[in-house]
Amino acid sequence: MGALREVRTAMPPIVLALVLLLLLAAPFAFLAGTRGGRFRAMPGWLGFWVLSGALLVCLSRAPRSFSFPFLGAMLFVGLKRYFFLAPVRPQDRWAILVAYLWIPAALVPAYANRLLVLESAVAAGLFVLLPLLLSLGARQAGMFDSLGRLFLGALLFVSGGAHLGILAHEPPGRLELFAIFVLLAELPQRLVGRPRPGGILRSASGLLLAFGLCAGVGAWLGPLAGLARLHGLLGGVLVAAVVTAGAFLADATAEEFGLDTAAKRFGRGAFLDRAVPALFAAPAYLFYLLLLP
Amino acid sequence: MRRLLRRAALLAFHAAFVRPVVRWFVGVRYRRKGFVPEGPCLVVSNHNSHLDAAVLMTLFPMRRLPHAHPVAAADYFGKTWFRRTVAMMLMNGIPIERTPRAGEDPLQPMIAALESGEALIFFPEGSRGEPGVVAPFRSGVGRLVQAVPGLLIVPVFLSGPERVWPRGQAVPLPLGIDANVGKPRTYASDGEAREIAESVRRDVLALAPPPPPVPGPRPRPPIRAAVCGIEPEPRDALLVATARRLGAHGFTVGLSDPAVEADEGGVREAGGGIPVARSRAWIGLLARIFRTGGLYRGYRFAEMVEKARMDEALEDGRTARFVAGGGSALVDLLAWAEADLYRGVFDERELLRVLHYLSGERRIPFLQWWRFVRKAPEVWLLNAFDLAHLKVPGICVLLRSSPAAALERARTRGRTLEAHETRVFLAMLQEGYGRVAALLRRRGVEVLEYDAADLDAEAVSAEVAAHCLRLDAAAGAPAAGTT
Repeated sequence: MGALREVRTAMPPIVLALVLLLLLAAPFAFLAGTRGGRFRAMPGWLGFWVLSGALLVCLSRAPRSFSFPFLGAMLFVGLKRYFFLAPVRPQDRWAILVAYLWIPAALVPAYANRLLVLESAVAAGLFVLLPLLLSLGARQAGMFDSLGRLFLGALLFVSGGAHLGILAHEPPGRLELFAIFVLLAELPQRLVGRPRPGGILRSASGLLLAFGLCAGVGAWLGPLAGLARLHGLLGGVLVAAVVTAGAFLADATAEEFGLDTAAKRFGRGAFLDRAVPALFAAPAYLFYLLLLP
Repeated sequence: MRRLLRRAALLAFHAAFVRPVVRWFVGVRYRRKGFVPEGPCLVVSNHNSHLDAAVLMTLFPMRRLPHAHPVAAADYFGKTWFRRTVAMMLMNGIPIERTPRAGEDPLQPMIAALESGEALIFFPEGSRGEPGVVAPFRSGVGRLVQAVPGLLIVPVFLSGPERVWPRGQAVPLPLGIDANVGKPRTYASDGEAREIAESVRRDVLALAPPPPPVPGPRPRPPIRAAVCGIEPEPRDALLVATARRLGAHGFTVGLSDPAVEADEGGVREAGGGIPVARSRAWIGLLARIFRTGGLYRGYRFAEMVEKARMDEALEDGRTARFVAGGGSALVDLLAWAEADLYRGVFDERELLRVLHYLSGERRIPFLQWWRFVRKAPEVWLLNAFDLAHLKVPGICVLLRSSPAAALERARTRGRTLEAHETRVFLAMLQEGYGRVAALLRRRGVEVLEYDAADLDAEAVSAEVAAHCLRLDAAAGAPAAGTT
């Protein structure tokens, strides 16, 4: 008991809540994982969230000179796996290279907390640089496919990741709260079955549970992150909604890349499946916090 | 001293540069890396990039690096001091003359290395070709097999290097590589060098992943025909004949042991069978723990699961137009369950329920688990762990035989009988197949029945192929592999 009390005093309560949530999710994930099928990925998903939880706590509390390279490495790995799965034309190599170089370029304004500069860099990259690079060189079919695939990769792993970087400048606790929201939004949906377009009703219980948990925990833990209870509740609902949308996107992307059947690109799709909902939700959560009075 | 320095340079280069770059910057996923043997062998792979040799070198543990040599073109890598140092010293390469002088055998250094117990990395295409295209293999690999009888060849298919660092590009991009290692095998050294090279190429190609999907409507699933019966020999003969006939109309995969593939060029073995991946050995362990029996005992259950997963992977219709099965996991398991566990007391509704459990359409209710664990552990394992979703064939060919005659024929062929192959049990199994056939008929599956004793494989295969083609035409748009 004494040791527990020591941990409680040494660890900020919101971090403790995140750790406890991961510990609580572990038996669910491992038990579900033994069922196989779509549950096979559950232990891996939990492992991903242990790492991501550590990253978010680092971003929130550690010196940025340490946490930002960590974030950059995660984004690099994510983008690399994404481009492995997304076939683009051979002539788009320069656009891919620019997407990689864009990670440090987007993290610099995030490091300096310059949101406007970041948004301008993202807009310029997405709407000027990438289309330009794709239209240079010999004419090859499939430019629109390449454009869509590069857009999505850059949007998620550059822009989404850089918004996480901006969130690091928020008061401590808000990134941990974000991690808690995403975990709570994802766990029930993964256990019950992720909603799919046209089949939302079947997984309604998972959705309801996710929204309810996020709202309840948001109201309960909001004050620990410097948010009013109502703001915490609304934040939870917002993150649950955007994470669900991110899950739609992850599923559609997996289907597009042929990852929905057995024996395809082994193991490559798992990272996308785990990272996309959180990265998709990061900008929405940031703007929600910025809009709060 | 010089040798020691070379070895130190090689190890340092790989530990500090090659491995970190390949593993962390480029990102390589290995499949069945454990297949690379400890002793002398020839690792053969497709070749699209300078990265290929570096990736294949990482298949070997550090301690074996001094004994692993990529074979490098002397005219290209010997051109400058820099290339020579990197290729021959830091990558431990052996030079090969692509245009040898008269009377000179360019393979001699390789033969000597193999005979002294070294492992070689060899690219039989001869050069980096078009990205993503596997060019015909040169006869050199065949000549090596002829010169070193019993040489163990490890086929590897690399997908990704052609995108990471294709020919003519200055900058490599980190896009990920998959290294798919096949089962090491030997080739008969008395054949023509070209033919041996062609068989090696087929084994390498068998490891290639299916092509990425193109945007737009998906191809439809392949037409499945399953040949079932209590006697394996006529079943396999009919499977091969059917695969040959279907192959003339579109790419056909025959799921038997070993797996075969067929196209206009005829039937051939594909990649030396269906080995169980090391990562799925736990399925065999599970089968042992839950005491699966007979045909599905222990590791054989894992093999059945692997075969079923291969069948599932073919479902997307991008690889094969027809799939012919030497037995069908679903039909065989149903008949097995009917014969071994329920001994005919099962009603049809119960059998239909088991079919749903096996095909993954339904879950076994939790309260029924104990019953299934006790009586039908194969069905329970497949369903509870979601190991595979067994496919219902479009056409089921049932070969009927008299159990006594089947046993007699097996004995005269010199095949060792298995514990479950008794007259009484085979009669029950036959009966089980009959019930399953009746059930499948009611589900709209075409069931063709023949007597295995006087089976004319050619005539029956023509009939089966005609049925398959009719189903194929009725299904509409052709799947991939259409010729």
